[in-house]
Amino acid sequence: MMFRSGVGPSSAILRVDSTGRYTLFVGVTDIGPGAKTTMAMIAAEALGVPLERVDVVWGDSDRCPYSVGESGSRTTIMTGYAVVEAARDLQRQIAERGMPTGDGVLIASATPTPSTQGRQRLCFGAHFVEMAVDVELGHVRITKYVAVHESGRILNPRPARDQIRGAVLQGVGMALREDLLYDARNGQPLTAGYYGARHLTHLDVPEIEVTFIETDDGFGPFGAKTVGEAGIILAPSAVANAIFNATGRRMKELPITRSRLVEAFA
Amino acid sequence: MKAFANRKAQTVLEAVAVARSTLDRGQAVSFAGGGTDLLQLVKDRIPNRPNLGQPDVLVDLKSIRALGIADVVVESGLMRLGALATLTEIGSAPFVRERYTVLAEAADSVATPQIRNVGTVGGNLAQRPWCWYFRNGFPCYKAGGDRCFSAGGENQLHAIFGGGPSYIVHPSDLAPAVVALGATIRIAGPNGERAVPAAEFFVLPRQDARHENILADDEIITRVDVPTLAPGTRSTYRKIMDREAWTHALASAAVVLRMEGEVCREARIVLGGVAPVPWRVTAAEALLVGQRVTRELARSVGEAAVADARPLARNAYKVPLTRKLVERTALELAAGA
Repeated sequence: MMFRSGVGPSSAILRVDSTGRYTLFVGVTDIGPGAKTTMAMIAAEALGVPLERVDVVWGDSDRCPYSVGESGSRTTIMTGYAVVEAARDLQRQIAERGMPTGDGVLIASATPTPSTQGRQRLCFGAHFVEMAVDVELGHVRITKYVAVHESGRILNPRPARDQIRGAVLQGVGMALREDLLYDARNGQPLTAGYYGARHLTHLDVPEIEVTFIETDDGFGPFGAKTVGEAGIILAPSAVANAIFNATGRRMKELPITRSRLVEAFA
Repeated sequence: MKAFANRKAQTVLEAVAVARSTLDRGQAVSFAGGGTDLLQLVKDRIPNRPNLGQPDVLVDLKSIRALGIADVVVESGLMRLGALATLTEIGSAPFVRERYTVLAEAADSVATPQIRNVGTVGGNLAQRPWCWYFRNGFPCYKAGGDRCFSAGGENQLHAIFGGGPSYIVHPSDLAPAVVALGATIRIAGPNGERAVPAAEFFVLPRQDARHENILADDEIITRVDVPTLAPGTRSTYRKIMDREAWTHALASAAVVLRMEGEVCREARIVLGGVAPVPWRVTAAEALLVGQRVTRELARSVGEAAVADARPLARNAYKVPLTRKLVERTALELAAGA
């Protein structure tokens, strides 16, 4: 799998006060994947200061610069780039004027529009599924799932791994369980709601092992590439391929439910 | 959500009397056991009692302190399951697990641990269907309307036996188990108590398309009496689901066998998830009696179990699925697995 991992415009503001506390302002909203922590880590790394000296103000449109939002697998690679630029500007100011004293502060901001100089930037992945299929009862049990990703340098390993795991969960649900059914006569949904959506339960979730192959192509903050959406793309085809490998039959319609398997092998 | 009054009943008599007087005032009433499903129906504005509409009054049964109503008691050869005993209690009682395995396994297969901790025996047996038309607010028979939307629509999960004019499948996991065990269901109403064999508690849509059982609007289940099983009896409940937990059966089988060495002397096979009532397959049972249960015999038993199946446009898979389920369950249970 290849998935775009381009760089693009973003903004960050970084401030330091006389006590040596740094405050980073970014417009991104942490919707769960840990963007707040990752942005602080990027700032601390670029500034060469301990992480605990960096506070982050995020998602507040009164105080933070514009952000397009948490989408498109771009928060780390795009906003992270602006954080690095702002940190470099702040370091330059400190070198020129010294640390602020009293009530004074130093403020740096950056709105870079980096480019990959005409080249396409991609991240890569490969997923491996081991499963047992009972064709008579249409039962699929995934015994092991291994996801290997090349997402450049991994800046914040735990959320990166969990983001891949979460994506795999959704992808396996898409492959085996979740369906959107409407009554053709009136267009009313039949699989509405939490119960109707047939997402995976804890008992449906396989052991998921995530491995990263780290590289640095010189673009993005410290060579980071996309993680986000890259994780879900492979899961349905990896699961369907494993079913083919186990049974010799291609299932060509998602989700590959019990009923479809039983019908195919009856 | 429509506002309702919550009346805590202290006794069975008070519960049914409150229901009767509510109905006499022209208002709608529902009984609340664990309430896990009832409250969802109220919130989704789906009628629990099909001829009444949204309840004005809920009669809370959990406040009843009558002897045995929330307990599992063994006395004079009977196991008495109180209607308010929880599914967790049924599933975890060592006595039930050992002697009435089919019942414990059925209770364990329901929904999730949280729901089983609260859901009751009575509520599970009297549960409303989980047909996606009914649960998504379609004005079908089960909601008090006069048609079944599944017949010409999406019927992947619907009945292959006993359907028409409604094609729901009965959602209860305990139901096939109590029918297979030959249990008796005790019912209380304003005019006193009655007891019916479990098989007669459930009704086919052609008898009553709106209700799944014989309970009147002012009646409750108080107890389920399970007879003592003869020595050599073993049982199991197998449930086929479209995910590993928290869902209803695509097909299930409650199987009770009395074995004498390798020979089967008595057999009960009751299917769930495939008919509007727990579906007993007597032709399949008959093949087992007096026989050693070989692989070939088990295959014939599976075939006999689905011989009368009448699948709809989108649920033909349930026929081979049920056949294999019955075949394997009979074979493994007879072998002592």
